[in-house]
Amino acid sequence: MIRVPTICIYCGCGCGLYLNVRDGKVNGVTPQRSHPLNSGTLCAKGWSIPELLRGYGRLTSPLIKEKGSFIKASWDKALGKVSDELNELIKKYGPDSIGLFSSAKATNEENYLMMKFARAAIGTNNIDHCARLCHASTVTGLVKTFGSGAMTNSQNEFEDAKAILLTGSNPTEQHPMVGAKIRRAVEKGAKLIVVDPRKIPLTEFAHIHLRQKPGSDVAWINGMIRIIIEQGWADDDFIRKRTENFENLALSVSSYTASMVEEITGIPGDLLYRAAEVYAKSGSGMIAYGMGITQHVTGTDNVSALSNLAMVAGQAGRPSTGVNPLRGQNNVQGACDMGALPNFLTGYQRIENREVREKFEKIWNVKLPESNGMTITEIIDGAYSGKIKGLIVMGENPLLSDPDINHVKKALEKLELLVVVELFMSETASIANVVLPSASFAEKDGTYTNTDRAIQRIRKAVLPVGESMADWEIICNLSERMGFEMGYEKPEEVMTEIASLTPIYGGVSYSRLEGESYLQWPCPDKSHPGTPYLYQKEFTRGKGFFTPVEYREPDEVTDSEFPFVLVTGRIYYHWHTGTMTRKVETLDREVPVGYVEINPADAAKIKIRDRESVKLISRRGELVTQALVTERVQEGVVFMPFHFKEAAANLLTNPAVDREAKIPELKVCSVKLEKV
Amino acid sequence: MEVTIKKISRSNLLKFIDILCRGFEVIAPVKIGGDVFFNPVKKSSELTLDYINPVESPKRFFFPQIELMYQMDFEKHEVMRDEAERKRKKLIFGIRSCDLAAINSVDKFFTGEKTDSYYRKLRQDTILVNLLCHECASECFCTAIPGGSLYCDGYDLRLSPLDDGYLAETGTTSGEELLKQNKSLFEKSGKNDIELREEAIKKLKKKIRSNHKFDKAVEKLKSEKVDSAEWSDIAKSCQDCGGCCYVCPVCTCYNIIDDVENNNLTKYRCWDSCLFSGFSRMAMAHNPHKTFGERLEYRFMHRLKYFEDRYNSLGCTGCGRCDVVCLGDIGTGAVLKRIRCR
Ligand code: SF4
Ligand code: SF4
Ligand code: SF4
Repeated sequence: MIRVPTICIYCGCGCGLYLNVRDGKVNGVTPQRSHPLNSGTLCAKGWSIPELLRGYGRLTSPLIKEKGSFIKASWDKALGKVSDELNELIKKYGPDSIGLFSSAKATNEENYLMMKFARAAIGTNNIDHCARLCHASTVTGLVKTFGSGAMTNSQNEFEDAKAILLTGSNPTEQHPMVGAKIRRAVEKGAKLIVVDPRKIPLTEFAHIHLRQKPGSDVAWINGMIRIIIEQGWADDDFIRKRTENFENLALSVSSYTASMVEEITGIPGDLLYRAAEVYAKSGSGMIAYGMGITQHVTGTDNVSALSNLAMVAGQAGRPSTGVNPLRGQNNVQGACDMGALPNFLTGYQRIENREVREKFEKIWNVKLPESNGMTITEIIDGAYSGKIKGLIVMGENPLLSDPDINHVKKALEKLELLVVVELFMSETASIANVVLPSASFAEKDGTYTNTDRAIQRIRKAVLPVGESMADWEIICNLSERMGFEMGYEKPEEVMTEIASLTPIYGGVSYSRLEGESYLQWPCPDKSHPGTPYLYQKEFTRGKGFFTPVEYREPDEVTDSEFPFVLVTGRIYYHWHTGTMTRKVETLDREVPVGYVEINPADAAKIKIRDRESVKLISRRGELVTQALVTERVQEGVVFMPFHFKEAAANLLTNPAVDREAKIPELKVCSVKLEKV
Repeated sequence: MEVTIKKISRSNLLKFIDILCRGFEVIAPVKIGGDVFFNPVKKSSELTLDYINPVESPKRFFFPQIELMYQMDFEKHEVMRDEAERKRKKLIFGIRSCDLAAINSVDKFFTGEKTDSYYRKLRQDTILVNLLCHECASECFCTAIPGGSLYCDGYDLRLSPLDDGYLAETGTTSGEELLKQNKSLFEKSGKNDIELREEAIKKLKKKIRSNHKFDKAVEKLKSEKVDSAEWSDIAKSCQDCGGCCYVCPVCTCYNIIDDVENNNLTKYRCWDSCLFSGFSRMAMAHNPHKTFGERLEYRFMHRLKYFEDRYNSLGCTGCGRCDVVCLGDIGTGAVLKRIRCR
């Protein structure tokens, strides 16, 4: 048995595990006991990795669609076709007619190469990835207040916090290590405030549960800031020394009185007061949030408001404080860091900045496109309107994950070329012109960056299934055929290049990532030990900037025709569009079908019993699923997981986006329910 | 059967292992990263003798987490099995008494009334070399439960650490055989070596019992005095990872996976856990253990009562691994402590 140390592929926690290899096959996993984060534990998803790696359903050779059905092809033929057609499209419509979706599941090296391919080989900045759908507003919101957008502190610090304000996140299910650490903190005496429309497992441990109306976050956050200022609980010293624009913030929140906040959010004034007091007076209070905050048309504002709150209370720049977006995918932090974004090169260096471009141009030996490219949501719209003609999707499944999938489907069908690089025949792959089989994480080397900003090694344990090939090799091959030589022998060389071009990754190298290393960026040079928490002395932008924000309604509000708010989300046993977890018996057996959670009072009103079929209709689509009658949701609110293709929640969701971050409002849309 | 008692120096023990490596796949404690695992070694220099208990028991080598049972080709009418694994002649070196006790229990389950041929194939003829403990970890509670012991039968050869080497005792004819074949490496044991060994074990037992004392808690559990409210309160912390069952050297549940793809049926079995709701769910979503509390209660009752009712030995050996692996900090040791404190 060979034990290959590597990192879990599911969530952003980034647990260390060993793949146990016997006779060339993975026959088990073992959690790394010496790992600083998970110390000998894994969640059900991590434990089930051997089932995933049994290889069922894996794509084993390139496929080309001919007359409506897929024909197996050689790599030579498939890559030849892709490069010929891309060249054709570029010649006919220009490089900006091509879009590229990189992948938060792929390695840092692969994301770097994908964005290099987009910018250097194709010549477009139209590159983006699913962070657009989860934490785009974290970046825009935190850049305004702090100057950069990542989790400020580390997961382990939850255990030592005195107060934790958890909102729009269900870490027990989505970030199981964080869920465990928050529970431990409570057992050690910390006060837990949960602000969430739904009951989550951690509300069992919460001292205060505020159940806001979906989409009303700016109001309760501003309300809390007002209470803190009025009661004299603000950290004046911190505000004076470390921040600016406090007066404007104070002015803007002054109108968020208890009664006004209660009217907008439904949160009783006395509860809000208690929560404000607990958080502000705690000494070390951590804010943690997830997509309940970001996936709104006011996502950027929500995030800025949370950072205003932290700064007012002086809860930043120390251990067990800060504003902590919990990043969802195993490498969504890394994909952002690598510049798989339309406006940034690596390490958040702006593409529009000439000096930055020149630095990359010199090393890459090519002229780079100058202006910001298109986001995922814009590329989909662009495909629909005819601006985008060719799309390369690597390890994403927009046909299930993106809002309003009827529209997504129509858009993708209009493309002249759709290339999907995948492990499995996903919904998106099934409508592609060319499908390229890629190797799994167990079949290649690379690095992932978890939500702690820790860069960790994944290692090749077994040979790729069939003819599948690692994403990085696919990109290199394709690039070469398009006339832009990449010339890497192995991922390590890519990391060396990344480090040389990216100040926050400056000290990262494979040799430093051996053993029990847990290297957290910023790590500017070879001797730098890494950074467990940010902003100890100053914020990225120098002084923290209080950014006043005003409450705005969600894009779609309920009315007599569509009286229910639909909230979408995820559950513990499944991962995103289920391309992996639905093939894992242990996980799929737990929750084999989709459902909608309905409050008992609402269920009684529309005469629906538990487990009965119910029809959901929104302005964009409809579906039938099973009702789960439960107190977990409030009256007037229904919740659906988006993992299930048989009842795809995103048929219903609203593609309206946040102005700045372009993140769609996946957390709020209006639906009606009918008995079937 | 006669029992031979000998002594072996540390350097000779390593030579002995080198010789064993020629005839067996020797699976011994190996340091990998910061962790110690049972892993195959090719020579003695690969293993460590400086360990308390490996992260996992040797369960994986007899009952892998995922095991290819067979593959069938519908067209060619062929059946294939994983022969490589079945042909290996294994020797587990350095197994502690708790894991040995677990193997005895699992043997009763898998090869008792009914024989599980998959388990038998991987388990049969494996030589077990027991190495008694010299130290305990904070999670160890083998002697803190009724009937718990730092000794366990079922070994082919037992080694006990002494200041100047190891005491070697044979437990089976295979063990005898190994001693005989390597006579020159062993010497006569000293007059009071057994006494010294027993004293060391007594001391260690005392240490473990000063860390944990669970006799009363186990009694309480067995007489079903822990009510469902208590179980559901404990179960609030469960994050349904399944880890407690996976790492438990005595847990044996598995699920079957049938993959039908390209005219092939591939059948696997993989570890399962009674903490999952799908484990006990029946048609129409009926579930005799619907809540986490009920499932947790079932797991504990099985480990600490039902197993004993049927097989005359506790279904828990006190290895403490479920405490280390538990995301909810409610492993067996933690729960027994909590029950005791009530
Ligand atoms: S917590 Fe996240 S990283 Fe850890 S095992 Fe579970 S899914 Fe994997
Ligand atoms: S129940 Fe826990 S302590 Fe007991 S044998 Fe199993 S893993 Fe070890
Ligand atoms: S190890 Fe703990 S958290 Fe995991 S299933 Fe068992 S009791 Fe639950």
